[in-house]
Amino acid sequence: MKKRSLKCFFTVLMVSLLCLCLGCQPKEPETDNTQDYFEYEAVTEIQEGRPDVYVILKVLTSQYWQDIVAGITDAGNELGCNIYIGSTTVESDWQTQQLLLEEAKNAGADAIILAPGNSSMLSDTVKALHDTGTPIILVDTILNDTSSFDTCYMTDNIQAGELAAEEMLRLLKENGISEQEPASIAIQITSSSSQTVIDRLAGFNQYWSANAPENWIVLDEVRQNNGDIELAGQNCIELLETYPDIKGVFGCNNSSTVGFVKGLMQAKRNDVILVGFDYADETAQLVASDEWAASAVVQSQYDMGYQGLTDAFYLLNGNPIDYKFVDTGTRVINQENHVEYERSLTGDPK
Amino acid sequence: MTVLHQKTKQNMGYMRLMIKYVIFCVIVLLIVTIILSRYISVNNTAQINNVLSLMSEKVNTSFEMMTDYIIEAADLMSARNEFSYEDSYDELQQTLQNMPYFSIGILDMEGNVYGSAGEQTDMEKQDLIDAANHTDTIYISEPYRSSVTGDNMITIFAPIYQNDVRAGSIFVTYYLETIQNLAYTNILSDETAVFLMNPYSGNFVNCSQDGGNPPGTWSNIRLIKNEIVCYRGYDYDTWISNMKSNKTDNIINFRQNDTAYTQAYIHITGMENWCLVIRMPITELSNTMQQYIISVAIGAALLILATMFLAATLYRREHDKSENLQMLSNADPLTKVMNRRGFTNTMKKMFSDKASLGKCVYMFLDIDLFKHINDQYGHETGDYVLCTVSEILTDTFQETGIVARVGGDEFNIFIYQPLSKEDLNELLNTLQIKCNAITLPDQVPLPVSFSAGLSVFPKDAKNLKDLMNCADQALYYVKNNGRKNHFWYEDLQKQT
Repeated sequence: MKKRSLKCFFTVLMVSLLCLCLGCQPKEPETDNTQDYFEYEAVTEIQEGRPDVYVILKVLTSQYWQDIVAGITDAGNELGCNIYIGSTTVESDWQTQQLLLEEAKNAGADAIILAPGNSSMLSDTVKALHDTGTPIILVDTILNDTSSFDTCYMTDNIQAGELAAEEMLRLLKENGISEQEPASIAIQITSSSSQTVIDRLAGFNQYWSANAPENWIVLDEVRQNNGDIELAGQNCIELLETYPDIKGVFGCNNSSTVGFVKGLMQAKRNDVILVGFDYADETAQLVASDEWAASAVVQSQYDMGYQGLTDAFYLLNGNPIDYKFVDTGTRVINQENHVEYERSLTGDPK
Repeated sequence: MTVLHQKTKQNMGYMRLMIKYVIFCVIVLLIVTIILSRYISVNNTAQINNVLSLMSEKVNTSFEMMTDYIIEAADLMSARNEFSYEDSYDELQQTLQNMPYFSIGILDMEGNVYGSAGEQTDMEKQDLIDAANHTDTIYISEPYRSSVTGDNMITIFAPIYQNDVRAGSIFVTYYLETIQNLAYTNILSDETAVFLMNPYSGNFVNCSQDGGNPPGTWSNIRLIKNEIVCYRGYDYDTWISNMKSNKTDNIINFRQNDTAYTQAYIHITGMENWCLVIRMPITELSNTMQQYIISVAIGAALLILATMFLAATLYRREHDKSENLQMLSNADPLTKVMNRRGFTNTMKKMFSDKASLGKCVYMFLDIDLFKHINDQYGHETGDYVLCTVSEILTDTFQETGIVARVGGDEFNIFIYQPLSKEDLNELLNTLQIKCNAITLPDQVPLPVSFSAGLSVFPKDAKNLKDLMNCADQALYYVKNNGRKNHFWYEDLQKQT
């Protein structure tokens, strides 16, 4: 009885001390995070003897991604490649992209074009495939491990942001804002976890700090909308009410830009200048209007697809490529060139 | 019953003492740990700021060595009488091996880059050519993504002259991680982060892997400002202002996402509007010290356990020894049952609290004609009989009473369990049968009988002395009436 009590006491004491010293680390549950996806579908005529190129994109539903598909398809038809396109339904679903990569490998892909849903998590899978000799071309997003692919076609978003800031300064001056007059610029982004929009914001601020008059400042408050256009519009109205000297607004992505368009129109503030990204219908309407001062920065996504496929074909024919990163560039669409740009969209985008 | 209770009480006392000892030790240990932790915490900020200052100087010196190397290479090239871009570029390529930079090349005044085709593209795209060739001293680019490698780089330019006329620039391209490596120390290798920061735009670029972000990832202070809580005496806007005006007060302490940091800036010659920012977690030094405290605490806890184990062992030995001594003084050395002394003491203790006693029976038991056994078979056989009878009595009353040998062939039995008179009669008859069946070790039967007198407490007597007297009278009656029987005092009373 006595010995058992002592034993129990010492055991409890030892276990307590051990728990205290070591702590308890709960095991994280393993979950399957894959989601629905678009299975591979041929977008060119399939002929025997031609190289099979598998394309894995983030989504297929927006115009931006359709332009990339168009670029790849055109180049595939011109160069004689069998093109198969698959995609996830959520931009960040890198787990499903891993499955699609595995499928492409098993199907005997001669080359792969990938828009990575995650820059770090996919590196190992892509590198393993690349090490087997399969040419890998990235579009839209780069992987952190630059040895895991052959080349990457994407927008240099720092420079894109700088271009937006340059356009904003031009429009402010053109619209008669004096350099002595205090002026604030409000910025809106989709999410602070998107490196693309962070780069654009950083590029904008970099150019602004070096070139804007001292009285023209970028507001410290950066609103986020998580892709919700209604919220983006609400953000715009609140910003206009909070900061009366706002003279310009900058939307770092499509949802932010469309939100600003809606907010400005609702508040009837055509004295405020808009510079934003992408050419949504609402943005195009403002850019074309004589009553508003607005410009849109657009990317060359068609070129990402077209040049990406061209490089894949080039590599398949045994030619080396001595570059890893190609900025496909951006351009500003404003009142001077919007007609020409819209015409190019309706015709051959190339 | 009382003896058992007393033993349990003793053990409980010991357990309580041990628990008190452990609680005392744990409290002392906790107090010492808290005091030490607080002391370290208070002094840690000052210490980490000193470490940060030293680290800043180290990084600054290393960075200057990087730029000095390029300036020296440019000066050597400028000092030559005969100069051609191609030959000089070829010579520079010989130095590439084992150097920490990615590439080295020359830029002429026409904007031609003697380097890879990708470098020409990058410099044109980043507007570096004009900027470098129109700077009389060192010029450092902003971080950019190299088209050659896809990695993030910076390029350092130094002017070259021919006959005092500007002839272009030498350039060296570094991976951004190279800057992080300048802050490398064995102890703080994983904890120190280096950034490039522009206080005017609020942009900063990490030089090392930061979470999931690779070196060269851009961000802006506007996106994290609401996460930053400055310590008393520090203000982030003031720190940024100091950075802009190059004040010597270059350290700030703050908390971001539950981690406390200290960070300092250093101005970089040649990189206009950009500073190097070195950040260290404030907890880093205290974490190191905490490791020592934890080790000491574990050591102390083990020491306490060892002390407790030692105390328990000593207690057990002492307890066993005391039990042995007590047994020796209270036990009959021949039969191992209690002797007169032990029995008397036990009885006194039990009767000192009569209220706790229920109905009890006192019994005197004598082995009949024991002297004859001794005379006829010898003392050895007599001893054997005494031991056997003791065993029979002990087995019978193990759970219900106390057996003692109080004289040669005399036994006293005190039965404290409430047995009925009928049960006891039956038990004593069985005892007689068992004693009658005693055989010697050589299997020779030696039937033995006993006489016993019994008195009942409190019915026959209310105190021990009277109770014993009653039992004695009953025994006397049996002895005078043919022995080999037992008799109850109450029956004797009835007869008289």
